[in-house]
Amino acid sequence: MSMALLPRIVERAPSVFALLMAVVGWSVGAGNYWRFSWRAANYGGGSFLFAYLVWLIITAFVLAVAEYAIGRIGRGGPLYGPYNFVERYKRFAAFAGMWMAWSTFMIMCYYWVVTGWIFYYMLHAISGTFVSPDFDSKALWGGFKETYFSLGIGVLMMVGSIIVTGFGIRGISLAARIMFPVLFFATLGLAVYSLTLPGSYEGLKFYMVPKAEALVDPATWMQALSQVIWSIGIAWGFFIAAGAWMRRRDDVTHVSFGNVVNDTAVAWMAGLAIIPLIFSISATPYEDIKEAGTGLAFVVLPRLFHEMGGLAGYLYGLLFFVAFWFAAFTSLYTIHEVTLRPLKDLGIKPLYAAAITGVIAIVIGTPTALNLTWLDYYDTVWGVIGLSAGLVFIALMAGFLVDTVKVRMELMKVEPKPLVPLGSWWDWLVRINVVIPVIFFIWWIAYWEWIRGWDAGLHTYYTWPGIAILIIGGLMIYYVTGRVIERVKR
Amino acid sequence: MVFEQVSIAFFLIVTAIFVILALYTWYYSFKRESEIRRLGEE
Repeated sequence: MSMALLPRIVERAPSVFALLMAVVGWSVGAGNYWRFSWRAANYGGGSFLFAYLVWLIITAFVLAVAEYAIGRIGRGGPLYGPYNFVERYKRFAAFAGMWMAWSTFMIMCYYWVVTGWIFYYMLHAISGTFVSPDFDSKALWGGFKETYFSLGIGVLMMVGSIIVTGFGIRGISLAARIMFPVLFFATLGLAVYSLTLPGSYEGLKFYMVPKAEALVDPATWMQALSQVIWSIGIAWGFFIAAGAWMRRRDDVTHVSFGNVVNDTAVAWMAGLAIIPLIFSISATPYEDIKEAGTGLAFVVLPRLFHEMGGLAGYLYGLLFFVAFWFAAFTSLYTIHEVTLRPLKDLGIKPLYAAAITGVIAIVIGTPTALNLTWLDYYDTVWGVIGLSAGLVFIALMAGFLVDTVKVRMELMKVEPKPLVPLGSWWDWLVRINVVIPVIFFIWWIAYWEWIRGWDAGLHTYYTWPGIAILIIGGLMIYYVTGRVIERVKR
Repeated sequence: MVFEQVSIAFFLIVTAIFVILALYTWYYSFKRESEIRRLGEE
């Protein structure tokens, strides 16, 4: 690899546990709480859980290993890692990495806003607002969202992220080693407690009993797939960045497996903490269960904590929002790390790289804080379309642009022996995964076009400009990436 | 209904298995770290 591009700033994980906590902090985010439980409850309960298990095996673990391998063998972040990793189409590979970093950056532009909301609610949970007699959850959320105050709290989150990522892997793994175990055990506590509530069995039925018609409905499988991919965090470029943190004896299969099981454990526990609670406390469980995202986290759940009341309501709300915010914040600064890593690879000091990307994210993200339509827009263009393309790139690079068998051998020769022995099944599953996002994308279009109707979603005023931005932005990234690499090589 | 109870029991057990596996990956980190220390050099 005489032509390899070498990062100017090299960081290595201080220990295996530090690495594991940093990467699981990435996977477990706000979506484990407010997305998973809603999707599981509304897309077939047990059927959804079954589909989730299938996708974990076929796609999540396999592609996580592939993405880590790009960073580990390529020895660099989203810019240098893919370039060094592939044997042919190197310029395309560098573009693919930067495409992911771009999508992730655009997601960061609204993720700091979301993290700020959760932080604000955590403060209310601490101060006991939810259990005070005159609490009104709709009024609290209505008076807070889209205000300059919420913008200010979001900015505070971004400042926190600049500080953490400014210390590089040491800052990231230190924060994760404190926050992840707390959120894990807090969620476990809530899950166990909610099972003891009267009437929780109705919730368990809704959450865990498979429905035959849902099992054969493509929507169940697609919702489960997108939840798995989004939740574990594949094709955002983070595993490339984290692969470059690995020391010679660190094991890719251990951290990939760690991502899969820790993320799933937290999501499934969060489902147990939320769904039986709704059925136990709420007078209108079938309406409340339909609420997703902000409606669930900021209107329904605080109302339920209020109805629980007393010490139980206070503690439930406190543990929930502490876990929820820890999950969001550990994802915010790892998202940040993906976007600043190309700058670090080029030689810009971590704190400067963090500040530059952080400030730009605040500027670009400000509209999403003041108007939630913008947030949905960013979420659709980069969160759905941008990341789907990233998935194809990962499978393409690891399955077709290198000798996949050689990559596997390289990962397997680590001492001490790897946790999960990879066989030729891994090579094949990586290659097969090239088509999975394509199927997903066709389904997604078909869903809006044929099932929901022509003007339901895809053809709203903003979708086509969004696709135009992706194409123009992609071409610009391709051009700039090529120029940067030419300059670095000279 | 038996089917309900069996499926709830099944997925509760699967959830518990994920929790145990997650904690195992934490434990494995420390085990691996001491192995790495024993093998020496980085």
